[in-house]
Amino acid sequence: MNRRHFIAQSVSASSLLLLQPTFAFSAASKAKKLVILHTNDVHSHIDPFPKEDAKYSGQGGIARRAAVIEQVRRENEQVLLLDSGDIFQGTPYFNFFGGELEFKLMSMLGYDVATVGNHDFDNGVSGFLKHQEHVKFAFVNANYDLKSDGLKEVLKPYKIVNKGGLKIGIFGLGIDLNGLVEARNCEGVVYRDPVGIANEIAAELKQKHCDLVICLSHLGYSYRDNKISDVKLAALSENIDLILGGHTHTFLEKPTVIDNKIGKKVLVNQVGCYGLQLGRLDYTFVEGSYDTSKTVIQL
Amino acid sequence: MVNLGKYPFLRYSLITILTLLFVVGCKSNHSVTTISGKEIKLVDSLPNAQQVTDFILPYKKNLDQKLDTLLCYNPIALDKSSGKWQTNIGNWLAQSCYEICNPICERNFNTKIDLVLFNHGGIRSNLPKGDVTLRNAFKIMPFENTAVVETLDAGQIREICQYMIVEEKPHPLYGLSFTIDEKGLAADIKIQGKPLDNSKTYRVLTSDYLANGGDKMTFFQKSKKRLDLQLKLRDAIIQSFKKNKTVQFSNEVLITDKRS
Repeated sequence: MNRRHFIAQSVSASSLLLLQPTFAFSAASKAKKLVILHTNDVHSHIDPFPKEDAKYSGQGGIARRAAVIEQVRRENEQVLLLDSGDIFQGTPYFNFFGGELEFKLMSMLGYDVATVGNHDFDNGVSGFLKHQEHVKFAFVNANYDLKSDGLKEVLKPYKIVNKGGLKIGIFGLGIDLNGLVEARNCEGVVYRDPVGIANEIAAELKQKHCDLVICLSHLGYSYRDNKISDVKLAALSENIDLILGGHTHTFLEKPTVIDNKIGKKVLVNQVGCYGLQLGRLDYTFVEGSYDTSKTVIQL
Repeated sequence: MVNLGKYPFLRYSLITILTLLFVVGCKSNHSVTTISGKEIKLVDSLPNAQQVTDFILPYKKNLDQKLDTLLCYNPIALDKSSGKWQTNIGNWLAQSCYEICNPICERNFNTKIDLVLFNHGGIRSNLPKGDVTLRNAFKIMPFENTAVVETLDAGQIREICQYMIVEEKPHPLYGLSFTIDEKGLAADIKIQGKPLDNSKTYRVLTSDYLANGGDKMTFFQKSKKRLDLQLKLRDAIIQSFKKNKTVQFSNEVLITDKRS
């Protein structure tokens, strides 16, 4: 934007503010668009499924995912690319290269933030840390107490990403590893109940003026019993706008909308597994405050 | 609009003041007005990013080379659908895991394995006749299940028999034999050829998945003691392939159904 244009816009917007100070000047400011793309439970599926696969013949593959992401980036200025964990385990690529290729490719595709799933500890904490030099994106988790210094350095509770003037707060939640990961492989990772922590972090991110608060969760979409899940968390939350989940390999027709504790809408999404799908959410923002009960959700 | 061009100072001050007013006035800087969403299916008609394909290629070649490593020769096709109560691939799997795991159990825990039970669903591929490579081992056992030995009493062994009768699936089995009598109950239960002894406990080799209650094998939850062999079942079959130059096993009948 050139300066003259900026000034003209500022003045016209400001005049409006002068006339009606309580009315946020949404009409005068330019709407901003953000596209969020996300995956979960890719499980080392680098190649597409073979043609002869009975269930997923020819589907998936990271090169194809990369082409779709490139296309979205060509059409949209602000794109956020996220993953909800279980990057590792599922093909011999992981058994032979230990996750090096998965990390290199995710960095190449321009992932912004990811959380960890239980399988990301399948080669132990040291196995997860081993190939961090290839990671060009952030890892987040807020509900694991970490005793390992190496892990503390890599795994932060949240990450604030700036996308074209939009401030996006992203935090992570992980599943109880007890019974899922061999004890010796997740030594020094202590699970804490995620609900209270999620609400605290989400409030903190809103206080830090985040325009959108996203939870990357590996808790699972929903369970028959009382176990905490994305759907349960959404209903118990206050400041989370979007939960992108994993673990249960749940394929949804479209994102689920849930009323939170104070009646605000939270979106929950998950895209199955093995890189067969890519989730896409398009958000439009205006500057200033806006009656979010009037937010139009088209799913 | 008022022309402020002639008064640059006034112009900039006004902008600064108004900008400040705006920033202070809002808590969040932006608000969401619309949301739309969809899932993009990555079907095979979509193009690939050449750069990514090229990057993967050396890894893929390296991996293919490793997976094509010759392990041994298999003289007859082993098939998951080769029998009602037992299959040849199930017999081979249970026996080859016993062959590798029993010495480990003896060495690490000073005890012998009495019987082996896995799940039919855990065998993910057949083993064709011909050369056996590492790729076959990964196809048969893509999961990372580990070998564990559970300690069950005679009552729990009877539960295993009853489970097999109800399930009617050829779960891989070794070391346990029984007949199904006219009433559909297990009779003549033998462990390593000897009648089931109510005063004894038995060591059962299985996978961590089943030991943790997978496939409704709830009897493993009652185990008195679990011994963790710290060995992946896939590695056990790879070791067995390497040890025997040809795939060999016995098709001894373990379950005899006496119902007409």
